[in-house]
Amino acid sequence: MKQYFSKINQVITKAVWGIWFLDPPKDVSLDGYRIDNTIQYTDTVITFYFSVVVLALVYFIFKYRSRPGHNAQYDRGDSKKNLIATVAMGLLVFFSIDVVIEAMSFKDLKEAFWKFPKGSDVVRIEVMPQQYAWNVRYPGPDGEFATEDDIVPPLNLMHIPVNKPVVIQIAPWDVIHSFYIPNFRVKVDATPGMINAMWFQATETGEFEIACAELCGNSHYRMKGYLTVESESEYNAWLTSLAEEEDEWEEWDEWDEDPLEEVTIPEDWGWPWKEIR
Amino acid sequence: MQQAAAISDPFGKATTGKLGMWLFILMDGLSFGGLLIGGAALRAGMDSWPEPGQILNISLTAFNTFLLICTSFTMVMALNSIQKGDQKGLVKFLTFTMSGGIFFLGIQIWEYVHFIAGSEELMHNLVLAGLEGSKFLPSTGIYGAVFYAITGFHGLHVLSGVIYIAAMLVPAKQGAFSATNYDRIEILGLFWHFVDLIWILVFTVIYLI
Amino acid sequence: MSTNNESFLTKYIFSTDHKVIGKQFIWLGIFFLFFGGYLSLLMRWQLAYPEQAVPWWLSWGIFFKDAGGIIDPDTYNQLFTMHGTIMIFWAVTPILIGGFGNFVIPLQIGAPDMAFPRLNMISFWTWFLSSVVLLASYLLPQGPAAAGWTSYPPLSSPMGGIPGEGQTLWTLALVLMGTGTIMGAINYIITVVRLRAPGMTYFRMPLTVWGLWLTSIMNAVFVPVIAAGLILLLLDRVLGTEFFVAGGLASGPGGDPLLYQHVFWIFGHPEVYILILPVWGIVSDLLAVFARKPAFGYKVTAICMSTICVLSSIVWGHHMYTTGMSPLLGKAFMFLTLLISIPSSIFFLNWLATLWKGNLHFEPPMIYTMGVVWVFAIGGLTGLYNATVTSDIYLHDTMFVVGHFHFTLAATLVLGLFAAIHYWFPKMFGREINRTMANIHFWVTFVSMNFVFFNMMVLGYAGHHRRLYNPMEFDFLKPLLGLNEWITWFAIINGVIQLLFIFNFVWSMFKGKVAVRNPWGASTLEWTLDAPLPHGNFAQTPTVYSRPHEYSHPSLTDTDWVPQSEPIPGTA
Ligand code: HEA
Ligand code: HEA
Ligand code: CUA
Ligand SMILES: [Cu+2]
Repeated sequence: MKQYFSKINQVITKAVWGIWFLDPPKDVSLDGYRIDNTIQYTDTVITFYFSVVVLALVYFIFKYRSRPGHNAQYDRGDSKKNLIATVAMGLLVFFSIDVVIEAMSFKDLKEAFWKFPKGSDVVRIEVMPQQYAWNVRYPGPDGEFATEDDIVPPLNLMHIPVNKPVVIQIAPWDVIHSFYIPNFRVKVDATPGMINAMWFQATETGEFEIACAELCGNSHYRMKGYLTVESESEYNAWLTSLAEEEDEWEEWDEWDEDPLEEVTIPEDWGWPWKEIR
Repeated sequence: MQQAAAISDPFGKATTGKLGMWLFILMDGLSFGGLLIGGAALRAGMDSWPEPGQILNISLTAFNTFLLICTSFTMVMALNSIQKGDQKGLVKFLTFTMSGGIFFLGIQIWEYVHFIAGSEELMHNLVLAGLEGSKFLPSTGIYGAVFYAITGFHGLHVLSGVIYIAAMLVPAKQGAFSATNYDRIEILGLFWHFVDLIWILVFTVIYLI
Repeated sequence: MSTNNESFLTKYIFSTDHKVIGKQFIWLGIFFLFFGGYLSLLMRWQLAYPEQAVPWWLSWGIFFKDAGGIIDPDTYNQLFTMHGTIMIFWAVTPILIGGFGNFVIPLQIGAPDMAFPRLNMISFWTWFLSSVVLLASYLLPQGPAAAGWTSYPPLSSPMGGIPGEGQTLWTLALVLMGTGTIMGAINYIITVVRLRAPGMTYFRMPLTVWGLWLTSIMNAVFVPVIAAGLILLLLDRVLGTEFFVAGGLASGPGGDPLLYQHVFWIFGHPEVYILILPVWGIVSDLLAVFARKPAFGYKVTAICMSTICVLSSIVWGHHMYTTGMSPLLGKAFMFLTLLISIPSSIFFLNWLATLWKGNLHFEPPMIYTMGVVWVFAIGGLTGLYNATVTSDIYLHDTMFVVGHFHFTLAATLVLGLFAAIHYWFPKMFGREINRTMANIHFWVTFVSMNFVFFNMMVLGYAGHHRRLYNPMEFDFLKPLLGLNEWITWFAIINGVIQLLFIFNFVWSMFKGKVAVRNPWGASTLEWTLDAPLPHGNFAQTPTVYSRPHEYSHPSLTDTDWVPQSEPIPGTA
């Protein structure tokens, strides 16, 4: 049903937006379709209302253009009837667009985006953006953050297992950044002084880009991370290999295609996990 | 400027100038409101906040507050004089008010200088209040920032008020006002009373709670 | 009322005549409109041809010399920061509020001048000073501000990593500009309250005056708030306080970057309505004039605009959905934001209904006005995507938002102010503006503008985030280069055609056909006066008998209009 619904919407939007329609990045998340659906519903109704406006304009321009023998019909439009008609139309717009998208949005927030997964199979990750890189931290074998055995992969690398909920807590070092993964339709700001949280779940393996969506300085445009979604066994192997190579981080840094010499990584970042909501 | 006959007048007899001043006071009040609420929000986010009197000198400032209230009184007297046609009284009371304002500013500057110069005792107090340094500066924690921002902003208002009174003293000395023409004094009074009123709020928020 | 004993200085520079001050504001605004537009073209060049030298015809061979003509990342950030700031505060605001507010309000309500003419003059010169401060930041070795027009700290604080003092001058210029705005607001509000001619009740004021008046009230309430915020930011920059600094850069606990965002948007959201209300008013009036019909549901439109003002003060959170606000707040802000579409749709329908059964004259002001109807429909409707929390999680800070606000802010306001300029030109300069040139200018501007701004939304939907120096850094944005190129070329067409507007404006000022007193057959009071308007306006204070648009009244025979200052025959 949900697939069917988005297909119809997609066809309509493509038909109207024509050759310029560009698909958003492929959705590889469990809940991204919800956002796509809401956007596409909005596309459809808005296209409808805008078409009504355009048709009215064209019709009026043709029908009521000034020409000899044509006069305007005096009407101040302040009778009760007029008032009721316009207010009714206003409410029609409100109920056919706003109320529907609001309901969709509330439902999605309740069922997905604001319903944080709990329990033991949840992958927990701490992220600490700084000018202009992403630091990532895994709790390590003891399952606790800000302890000795935390696993800190090289800058800008994040791995997650497929089909498992991932909760991210994020707090930056210096200025505001925003953690944005287009393929997952998710975005959350990282504001100094507070810890924000967000969750998502991948449905496909592959490598995806993490972008910074909040202006954070002159290299904001190349503040980029790599998200690798892989099978659970590969993921665990990766974590284990990192734990063993703890002391050889420096090499990893060189391996990075974009050596960020200017980035000095603050020591001792990380915080005890705060279960939110 | 002469004004056209106005049609409906929901604001009674108030002159155009007075309406303008009321509007300005409303806007200025919103600025102060913004600062005070912002300060309160920052304070709410802090674990600890210095006790009243721990750093700031309450008794000195209480005296300063008293002084400012007195100038409100002399301002009323000034208006009262000119309403009776007493031009000399007007000049006299305006001068009192202005001097009071200058005195207030002087005490405030003295307090600032004392904080900025720093001292053993101040350092002791700052440490007790959980702050660092031997001087109390705008950069001394959020507490210093809030203190200087709000009292400084108010101080600028007193300064403008003093200049405003001085600017009105000139025509007052030349006898420009009379028992039928004192609108500009009334407007000046509005501004001065507003500055005093705000100070009572600032004093309460910054010094007493 | 004699003007002959005024020197050049008091007549044209330090004039207290609202009409002269209005023109001064318009000149200032047009200068900045071009300046800000030029910055946007440089930005567009970088987006379409990343890190390629700016061609000589765009850089005049003098800019970016040291980098071989290539725009560097710091410069790019300065470009959009100054583009946004200038367009909003130094181009559109001076023209619409300073310019037309001054010129039109007293004339349309039958007043001799503003309530405080001297304050009016000081307001302009404060504004002028603020623009000097703003431009002075270009002389700094490290250039002007670069933290976006929103200038979120800690980035905009000294520790944020932006070199130089451009950000300080930016803040200072904004504080000065705010002071000028506040003075103007006092003036407009009191003028409308006090100086209306006899018979000019609130519900007989033209909707233009309604728009400008509501705008001024909003200015009076919200500019002081942002002034407080900017003062704190300024203290952070010059005195080393840490109001808005937290995290690793802060020397102690307590600063709160989020506080700035709240303060900024408490002002910033109403600000967008501050900008657009005059245009809504102008459009409502002009549609009536050129449809030769009373504005449909005049009272309802005025009430809707007022309702939007009230609502606009409690929706600021919709700019902050991704800051981690609590679910309850998020839902509340979304609901309130969506409520705004009810009054918006109602007055929008009133616009359409004004055209219905009208007698449409497609004079230049009218085609610009109908252009506004088109672009505002797109701009307003696309606001709904952003208002939805879930859609906005994806669309926030992408080019989609940029597209949305260029349709509302840029397209609606620019077309609206062109409509206003073409409409009041005969009254300002006593001459008619050339119609052929105006028509060409309209069509090229309209088409290219729609192309540019619509495709920004397409980019955003495809994931293109905003304030990106070089999108080619990201693989998922590489396919978008082609569309970016198209946009840039249409933006350049849009820029070039503006030169035609300037030519037309200046040419018509000196060489245009001498205008008659009331070329549009409009019934509002300013058209009862002859073109070189004397200081003091009305020789005799007019008395008002009717609403502002009584066109095609059944009891009229020879003409289809009657000025507001005369009773409609057979009804008095
Ligand atoms: C003049 C400017 C202007 C106007 C009028 C608006 C109008 C609206 N805006 Fe917009 N907005 C901006 C300027 C403006 N905006 C700017 C500058 C920004 C970005 C700032 C930045 O981040 O840099 C922004 C950003 C912005 C955001 C934040 C996006 C983000 O950063 O993630 C949101 C979110 O809710 C939003 C919503 C709205 C809404 C709901 C309206 C509503 O008022 C719209 C109401 C109108 C309608 C609903 C249309 C009328 C109805 C019809 C045409 C249908 C009638 C037809 C028939 C009945 C047939 N806007
Ligand atoms: C009223 C407001 C207004 C107006 C009118 C405009 C007008 C335009 N804007 Fe802008 N814009 C903003 C307000 C406005 N903008 C704001 C607030 C931002 C956000 C800033 C931020 O992120 O902080 C923004 C950001 C913004 C961006 C996003 C940058 C980014 O995030 O990376 C872009 C990109 O294309 C853009 C483009 C344009 C274009 C092409 C026009 C065109 O319509 C301009 C057309 C006009 C001219 C071109 C000038 C006239 C002609 C000349 C000077 C002659 C030129 C000579 C030759 C061609 C030889 N604007
Ligand atoms: Cu980090 Cu942008
Ligand atoms: Cu908004």
